[in-house]
Amino acid sequence: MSNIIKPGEDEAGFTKPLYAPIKRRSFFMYAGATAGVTALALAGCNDDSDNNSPSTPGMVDLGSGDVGVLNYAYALEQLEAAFYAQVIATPYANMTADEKTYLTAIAKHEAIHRDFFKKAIDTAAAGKTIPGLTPDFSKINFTDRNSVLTTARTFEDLGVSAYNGAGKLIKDTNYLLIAGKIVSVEARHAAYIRDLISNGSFAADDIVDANGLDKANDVATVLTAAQPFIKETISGANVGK
Amino acid sequence: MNLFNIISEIEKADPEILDKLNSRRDVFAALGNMSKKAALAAAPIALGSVFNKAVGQQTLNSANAVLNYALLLEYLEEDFYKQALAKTGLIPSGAATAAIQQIMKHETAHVNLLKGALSSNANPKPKSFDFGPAFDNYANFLAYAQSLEDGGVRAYKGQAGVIKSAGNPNDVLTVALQIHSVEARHAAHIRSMRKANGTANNAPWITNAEANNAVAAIYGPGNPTTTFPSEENFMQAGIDLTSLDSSYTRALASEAFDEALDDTSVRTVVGPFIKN
Repeated sequence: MSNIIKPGEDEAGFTKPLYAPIKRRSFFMYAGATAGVTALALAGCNDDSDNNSPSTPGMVDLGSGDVGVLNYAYALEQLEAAFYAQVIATPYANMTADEKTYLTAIAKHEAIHRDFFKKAIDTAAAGKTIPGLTPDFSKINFTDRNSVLTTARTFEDLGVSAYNGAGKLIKDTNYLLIAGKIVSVEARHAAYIRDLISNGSFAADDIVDANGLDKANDVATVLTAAQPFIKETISGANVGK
Repeated sequence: MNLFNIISEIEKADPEILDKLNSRRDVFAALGNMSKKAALAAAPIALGSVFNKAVGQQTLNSANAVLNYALLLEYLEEDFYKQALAKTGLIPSGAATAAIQQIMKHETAHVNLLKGALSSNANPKPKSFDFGPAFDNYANFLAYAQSLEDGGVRAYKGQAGVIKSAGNPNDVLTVALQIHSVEARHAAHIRSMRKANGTANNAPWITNAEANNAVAAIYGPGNPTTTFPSEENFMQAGIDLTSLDSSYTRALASEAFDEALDDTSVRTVVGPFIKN
């Protein structure tokens, strides 16, 4: 792929309108109508003509179309799975038995998600699966409960917002259903981790807005937040297109 | 409860009901099975779910229909928490009350958001809701709350494809997903409240199809079962999740993916609560 764009560079570019967060006002005003936005949702070229082998060392392009969305999810699940594997391998001080049990379960859930996406992409689009990514957890103090849990909260809330934002990009409703099956589990994780940090913060006002809505972030926003934890540079410029 | 009379009454309404089921014996087998698993309080709902297998399916085909369905569920949830909070002494003061108030705040916000979106197409709130023994004690309340929240997650998930197929007007899909994950956060917390209360040793996520004395039908299969399997499902997109690694048990695989539910199955469960 020749037009790899670093995350962030496309923020102000042509992808912005498509990825822009939902405009609540237009939702209020036009939810009864059925025309208009349909074209936007279905816009974009249909399939995945790109090639995910990085043309620049250390760069990974997620690709386009639904495969791009699947690779996007695969990248995030790789990050989460690697993180929780480390949490379990080097437990923070005074981890309770309950915490150990549930964090171990979460580690498995994320590993299952990761392996599922690899298998699903390998099956649906052989050769387009992104490689295994190299995590960078150098800023996380795995011996410190607060460092681990606040990072976990960041990852879980980010994951929820990523799936919520990517739903509209998915063309195949079967994949949309799969994404829906996963995002609610990520939300359960997020709620649990938040309650560990401060009981009752499972859906606090910092994450759920005045309309009772969770966050939905576009690809660029999510990758910008995730990039510091991944050594390779990820490009999601064509995800869903 | 006279089951013969009930089945006979249903036969009058739908003469083919028993043809749709395998046999009369299946009805009793299912009921017997359920009474062991389901909370006694949930018996009227469990009964409905037996017959639901014969008739349940997806019936909504427009974004507005989906939004009105969501609105009905949100009316119901909001009313449920309103009644619970109004009953003195039901919910312990402090963290528990604060959590339920926070959840109700979101349900109210969802009602207002959906009403605003539907504008003149919004269906009115039903006259009243009767949640039976849900408010008899704290344990019952939490069991019903868990059922409604886990059920709400399945209900929204079941409509994502419908919205997509309807062209996702005004990106209603994203809004639905943003509500869906909030319901999942609620469900996780309610499940932790049940664990803390000592009434159900359940995790924030759903293991197999375990209801732990919540409404069993919420965790069971919908219709068709290929699209809406029970929560114990471990096959996703044709991939057996347990085959991916020897440490991936069926329980873990079922926890890692929540399942969707068709609208008819959901209505069968919540229908008895609605008084028009």
